[in-house]
Amino acid sequence: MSACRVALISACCVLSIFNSSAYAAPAHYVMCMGCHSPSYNRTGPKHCGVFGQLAARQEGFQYSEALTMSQLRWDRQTLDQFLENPAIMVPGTSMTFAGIADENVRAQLIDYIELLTTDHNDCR
Amino acid sequence: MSDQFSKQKNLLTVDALPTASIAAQETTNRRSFLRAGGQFTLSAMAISMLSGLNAKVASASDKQTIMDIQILNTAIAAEHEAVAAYQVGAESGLLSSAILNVAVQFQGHHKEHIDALSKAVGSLGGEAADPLKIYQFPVEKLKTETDVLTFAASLERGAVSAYAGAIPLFEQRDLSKAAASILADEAMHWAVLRQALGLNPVPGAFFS
Repeated sequence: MSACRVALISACCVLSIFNSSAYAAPAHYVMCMGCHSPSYNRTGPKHCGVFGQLAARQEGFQYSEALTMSQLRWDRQTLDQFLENPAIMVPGTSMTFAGIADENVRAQLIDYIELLTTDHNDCR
Repeated sequence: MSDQFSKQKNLLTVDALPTASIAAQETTNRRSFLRAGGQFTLSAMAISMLSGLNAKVASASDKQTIMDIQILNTAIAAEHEAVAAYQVGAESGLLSSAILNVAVQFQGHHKEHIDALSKAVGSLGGEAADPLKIYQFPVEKLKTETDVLTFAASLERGAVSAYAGAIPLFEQRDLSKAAASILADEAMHWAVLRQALGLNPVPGAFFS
């Protein structure tokens, strides 16, 4: 095997490890999967492309009136508040989930949601 | 019956989990297990608990009752999705007859959940959520029986979290109790599906 080929394979391995560790859904994302998927709408809307956008604006999903009227824009701060206690932040939301008390868990989930742009593997 | 139960119990022992090296025996055991698993039945307890809500028939006017109805309807929507997902699996042509029997039974449980939850919504003075006309599922990724089982297991695992997240929000304790009963059923589904996949059926002591 040539040195060049070894280097190429090594680079691919490193990239693969980087991809799986840095971009993969955190284990805690399973908490979201009762209602959400990254790439398609379920009981809750898909997560791909929501970061940075106004809340309740994805096509093809029927949001609660409360979230539609909220005028929220999803950034790290608003997502953090919402995930901590959805019903307190947006009374009337259909995300009937008690919330996540652990700020580190919320941060991991937000890290992932922030990465979910159209070129992310989980959005294809 | 007792012999069958005994076999099932043995298979549920973590130490007896299947490994690749005993694949042939595992296939037989797995079929036995699935036959036994197919005989699991959700009791009518949840339905009776929810029917008990008639004691407090509401007009859906107070804020917390509206919240309870919202929680129930989110659960109903997820249950409708589960019924549709199992239908996709059942019609995929990818499932063996043993697995298909289990899938159909689990689908039946989800239908029972919908009936019970819908009655609860009605008793609170609300209107139960209807199923969607179209569900989006990653059907293009379902190419083998393992794919279908993995997909179903992920939905059941998610359902456990969804109910766990909803239970603390109910105003009425009877609703929390009924939702916990349904959560237990979803968790059993998940464990059975994981067992069928050759995975540890209960990979932890706590789940959120």
